[in-house]
Amino acid sequence: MQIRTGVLATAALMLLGCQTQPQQPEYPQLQIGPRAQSYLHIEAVQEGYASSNLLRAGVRLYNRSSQQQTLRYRFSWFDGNGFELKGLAGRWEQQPLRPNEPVMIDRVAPSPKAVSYRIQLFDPRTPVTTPTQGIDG
Amino acid sequence: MSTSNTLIKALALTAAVGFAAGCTPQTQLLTPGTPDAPVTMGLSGSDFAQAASDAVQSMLTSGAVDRNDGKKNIMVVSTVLNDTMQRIDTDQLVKKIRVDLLRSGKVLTTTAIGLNGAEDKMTQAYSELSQSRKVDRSTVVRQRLAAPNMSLSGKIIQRNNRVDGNKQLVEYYFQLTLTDLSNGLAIWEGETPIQKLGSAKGTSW
Repeated sequence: MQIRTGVLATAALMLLGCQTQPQQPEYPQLQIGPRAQSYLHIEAVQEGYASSNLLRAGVRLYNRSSQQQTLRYRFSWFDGNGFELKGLAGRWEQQPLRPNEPVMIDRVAPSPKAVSYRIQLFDPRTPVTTPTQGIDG
Repeated sequence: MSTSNTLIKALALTAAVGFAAGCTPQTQLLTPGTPDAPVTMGLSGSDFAQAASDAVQSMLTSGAVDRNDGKKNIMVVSTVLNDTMQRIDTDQLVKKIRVDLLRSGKVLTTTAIGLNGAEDKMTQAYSELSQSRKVDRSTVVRQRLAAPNMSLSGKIIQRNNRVDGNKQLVEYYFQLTLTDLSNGLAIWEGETPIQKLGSAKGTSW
């Protein structure tokens, strides 16, 4: 009887262990395109404040491929209600990436109303599929 | 005979017009920020946006527009000189900076004071309303214009250089200065260089 209970408990534990947990992305603020994913290595996402009350965000990354790449990126800023805040800090921009050279890209939010942000990292060769991928902020 | 000749001529003319219309490139509406946007040797809207964005980001991160008394800075736009070979309106740069600084909540721009008079002449015209008999004077508010405490000035420079005989390097420099008007000192300075390499046959003006 005790052996049967032990076997059942072990089986239950094993089943629980095999269950797939919804995996949280390491950097939920980042949206990386499929092509850029193949050569980008993200070292850190940093955030703080500039000019006392303006949200500031940045990403430290490098190109782990052996060829020079061009990164197309954009910072989107959102207010407390989730509405996007317009401004020059929300433009699509480009950054050349030499192999294995660390690069820090950071921007200051356009308004003190900004409470959250999203950083989109794409390769320019990625076809524009989403409405936000080609629209300037 | 003459009727058939006229008919042939009319058909030929219609066909020619049709061909010509077919060969005309279609006008496209470009979405700002698209990766395949055309690049020109001259200054384009995206160059001004780049320079303005760099300037505003630099001003905000430097702390030059911070105040600890809870008040906002009042900026006046001084001279932004166009020292390029192109006929450009420097307001393309200045307006973008003004809009972004206003959004930041740190800086307001006066439109009542300027080197060439008020940008918005209505401020002056409004002050004359109290003299008018047509206006209900009880609705006229007494004006107290805010004096600026900082000034934005700058210059856009262009340099053209031949590279390898058939190529041309065009360099643009957007130089801007923010001056504290209480003491005349530059509290922020920035320069955004933009370089373009293209055919030497092309012109950049």
